[in-house]
Amino acid sequence: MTIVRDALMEGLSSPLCLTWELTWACNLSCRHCLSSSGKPDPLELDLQACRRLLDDFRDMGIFYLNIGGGEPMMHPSFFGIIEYADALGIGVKFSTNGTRLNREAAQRIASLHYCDVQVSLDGATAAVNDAIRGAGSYERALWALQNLADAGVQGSKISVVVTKGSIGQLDELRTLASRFGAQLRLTRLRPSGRAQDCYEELALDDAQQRYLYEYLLRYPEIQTADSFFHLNALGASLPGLNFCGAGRVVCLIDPVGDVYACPFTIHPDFRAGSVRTDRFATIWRSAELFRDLRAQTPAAGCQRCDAYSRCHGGCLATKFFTGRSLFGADPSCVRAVGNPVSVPVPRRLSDHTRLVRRGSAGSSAAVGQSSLSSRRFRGVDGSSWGDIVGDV
Amino acid sequence: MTGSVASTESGVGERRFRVTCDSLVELRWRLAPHVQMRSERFGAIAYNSREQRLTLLHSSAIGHLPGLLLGVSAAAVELSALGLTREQLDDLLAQLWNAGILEPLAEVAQPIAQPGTESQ
Ligand code: SF4
Ligand code: SF4
Repeated sequence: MTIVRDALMEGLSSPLCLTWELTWACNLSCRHCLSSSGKPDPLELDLQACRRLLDDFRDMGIFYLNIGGGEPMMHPSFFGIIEYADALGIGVKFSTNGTRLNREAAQRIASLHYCDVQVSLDGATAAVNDAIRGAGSYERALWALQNLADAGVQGSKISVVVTKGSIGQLDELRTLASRFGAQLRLTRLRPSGRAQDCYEELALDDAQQRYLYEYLLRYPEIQTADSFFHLNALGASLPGLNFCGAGRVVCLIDPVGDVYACPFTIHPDFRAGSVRTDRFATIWRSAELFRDLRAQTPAAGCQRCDAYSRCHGGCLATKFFTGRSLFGADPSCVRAVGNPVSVPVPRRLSDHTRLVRRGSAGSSAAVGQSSLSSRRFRGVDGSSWGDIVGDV
Repeated sequence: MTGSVASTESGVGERRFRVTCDSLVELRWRLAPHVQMRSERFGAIAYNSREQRLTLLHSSAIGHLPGLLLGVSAAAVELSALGLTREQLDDLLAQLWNAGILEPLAEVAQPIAQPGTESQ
């Protein structure tokens, strides 16, 4: 089977992969946190606002949510939110550091129709994991996984951001997952949030990327959240999407209701609107940023590469936060390693680790305005795709 | 008829059935358990929450089968409105069934076990 690429490229009536960060509060301070989380914002959405949003999600036919943070279980209404979603028939996948996932919480999760828990762990040993996620976080994550297993929660995941430290532990991570009846999920490190400060240190080198690619081909049961499609340029395609879905099928709503193209593009250039001032459906369907993204040929500068149809130039967020042109190759491109940096590297604008208090919601831009720099997208044409799928 | 079914998840194999009726069009159908579906410009998207599998249904016909999807009418009843031949609709139903999206209300088919067709 092939993916009907053109249909997804042009955008859907609702996102397929909607990440909703409930809070910036977190009791850990991981070095690579994509949202620079730590302290909550006083303007984070409360239960009433979250319920309204969930009603909108149901009306849009959204199948499931990826709930994150911060540590989502630190939102004061965490269970109220996911239980309301469950009652509406919306599936919940949530990422947690596990520190609050006690027996009672695990039993409550087990009672839901569809709740998929991803416990973050960034190494198969405490030494590797805790170097990134903090002292004691390894033991606490294993405690959470045990509680989930004891409560009979099916299909839990151990979710690993693969780094130089953990790339040599993939076998051990698979063994660890099976110990808890869990699946292994590997995702890519992107230079977003605090990871901007450690990306060069932790990101895989060329040889490690090749090793990972071979490993994923050998163990297709490992989930990847379609993270590693840039590695398709090495040969046969890995399963899943093979292009950047930001604004096309992927979207983020942050704790104060701002909507971004992707969880890894928390930056004003990729902010599409706010659910405080507009309905989410209106933002998703009409925001200029999203319309722009859907109209673009991804990484048009890569089109002459013979791997383009499998890679499409890689990850937008990784290019953006390493200062690459969005038209060009992924900085971890396996064909063109060493692309010159072409634009100044944008810095993250918020660090919730040190958040004091926001003066306003910061959500004044109306739907339809796009702060995306025209410099970045100018000149891209909308080329057609080769694999047209027939209709009945 | 060139309707197609595609998935964004790996390891999705086609289910094989031994069908014991003359035409699938004669049957009444419903969405399979754990499957939700919504319309899109190109047809529809189905999601199986148990298998965590998304399937794109690239077919203009699929959005016009509401009665069928609710199990209230046989596919044959929907034929005239769709402008499809019986063979075309038969083929479409077979694909949707193979993909685990629709299932017949009646017991007419036995699955043939196939190794290596488990999805994530
Ligand atoms: S040149 Fe572009 S399309 Fe080719 S492999 Fe590199 S990132 Fe992918
Ligand atoms: S920006 Fe990167 S992480 Fe976000 S959807 Fe695109 S490829 Fe995925």
